[in-house]
Amino acid sequence: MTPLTPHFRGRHREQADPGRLPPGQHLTRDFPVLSAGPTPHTALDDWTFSVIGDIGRSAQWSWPELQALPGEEVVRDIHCVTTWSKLDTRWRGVSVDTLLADAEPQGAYVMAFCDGGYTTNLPLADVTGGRAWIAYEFDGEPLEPAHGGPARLLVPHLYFWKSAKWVRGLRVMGDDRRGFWEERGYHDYGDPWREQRYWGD
Amino acid sequence: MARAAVLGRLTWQAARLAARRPETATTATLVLDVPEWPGHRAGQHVDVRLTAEDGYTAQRSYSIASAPEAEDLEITVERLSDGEVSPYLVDDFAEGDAIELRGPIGGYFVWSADRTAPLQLIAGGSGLVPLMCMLRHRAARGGTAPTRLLLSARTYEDVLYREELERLGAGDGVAVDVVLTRAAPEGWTGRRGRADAAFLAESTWDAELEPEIFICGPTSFVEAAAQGMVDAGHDPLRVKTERFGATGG
Amino acid sequence: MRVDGNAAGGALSELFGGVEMTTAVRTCPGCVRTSTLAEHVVYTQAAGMVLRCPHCGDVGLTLISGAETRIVTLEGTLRVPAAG
Repeated sequence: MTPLTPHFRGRHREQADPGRLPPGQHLTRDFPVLSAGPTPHTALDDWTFSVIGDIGRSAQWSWPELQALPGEEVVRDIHCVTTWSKLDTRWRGVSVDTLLADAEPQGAYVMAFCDGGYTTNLPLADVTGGRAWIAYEFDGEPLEPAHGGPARLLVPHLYFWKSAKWVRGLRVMGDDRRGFWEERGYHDYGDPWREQRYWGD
Repeated sequence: MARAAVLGRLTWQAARLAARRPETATTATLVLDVPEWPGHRAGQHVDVRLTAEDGYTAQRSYSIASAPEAEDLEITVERLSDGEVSPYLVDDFAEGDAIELRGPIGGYFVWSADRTAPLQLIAGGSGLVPLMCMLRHRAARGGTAPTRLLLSARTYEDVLYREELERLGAGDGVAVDVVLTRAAPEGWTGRRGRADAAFLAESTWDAELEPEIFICGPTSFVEAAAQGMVDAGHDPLRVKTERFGATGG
Repeated sequence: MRVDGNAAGGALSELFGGVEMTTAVRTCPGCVRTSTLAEHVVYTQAAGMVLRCPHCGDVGLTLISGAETRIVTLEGTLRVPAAG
């Protein structure tokens, strides 16, 4: 058994309503930065968001065009596979439903693709029905590059590696294919309430 | 006599605090009692792991400050204001308490006193720790490599191991240059401002001497200094770096 | 004090049964150059460590560490030092 360190509490921890923390998670007040690579910096003039792939109509938005779409304030708990959870995080973004409204998706899966090469796969059903956003503000401020700015995918009901930073688009797919971390050992789906962290969980 | 560093298997073991020695307002040296300690090389580090009552664990790495020849294993820890582990280690970790420790780790950022090539050490803030280990090792073994240390610190009060550095710098074959980036005391005749390319050129060994170069400190400092040395003509293969990231504290 | 870079050393050695791994040499299939693992650029720690080739930036090694889980991927070949 791992010996205990007397007096050590870990600054981050505080009490939470146990119903809000998925199994194996700890609460934090911070917002740790976890990245698989260097922070990309795309100029807003060059930035676009695309919906492509197995769909009837592909589409692309520039930054001003995305900003002009109806935005929503979103307050959700988020859960990182590295065991920290943060409650009541506040975002602003465009619902993915809005971006897919005219697309006529044909496939049942999407791959989010991002500056820097990061990808993550999700069922289409998990980014629609009011469950996902392209978020460009956190806590009332423009999203910082270190946290995925100018815009990231936000899918709070799944582990936070699915909320892809620096997102540039969604590719609709007929068959499921694995993204960056899903190819390297993380779970295909990633439901924190069933503790689906790794392959085979 | 130096203990041999046995290349064995790394495992976690208990380390008790034998003593704490404040160094500056924000740093302290922890003297650790590690019964199965196999010895180490200058520049290596240890991982420490702390476990709270509810099973929450936190893990960090710290450079070994004590020379391989020293009696006790020592690490020097800087308290980061938003840190989770460092405030505990610097302020709360009490004599007799135990943490878990794993090491020594690292075969790349190491230096042995039997090497004779000119040695260039460049430190940013608490990046001095593993380089001080190298200087202590050199002194303990009577090493002869001509050595220069360039140290960048915020203020005079932030300079770690000040008196010891003054002694070493006055001694045999070691030169110490300090640049203060924020505030200097009255009568300071040393350099002020950032360690820019011009200062690097003045205070480090020339490329034609082919020194071994070790740079340690915050990531941005290390990358700028490493680039500066390569720009000054040093072989990139002779520039070894150890960067602090933005994670943990 | 250190919090990045060679901090991968402990986790890597644990994966390889306690053998010192920072001096292991990886040949990158993308750019065909070699570097020690210590020279790789490390992103994150705890669960989900990524080591990128210092020459071309490609992902070289990933390591996921959970409480009782270790999952590793390696691109290219890794020459491991013999245990002494």
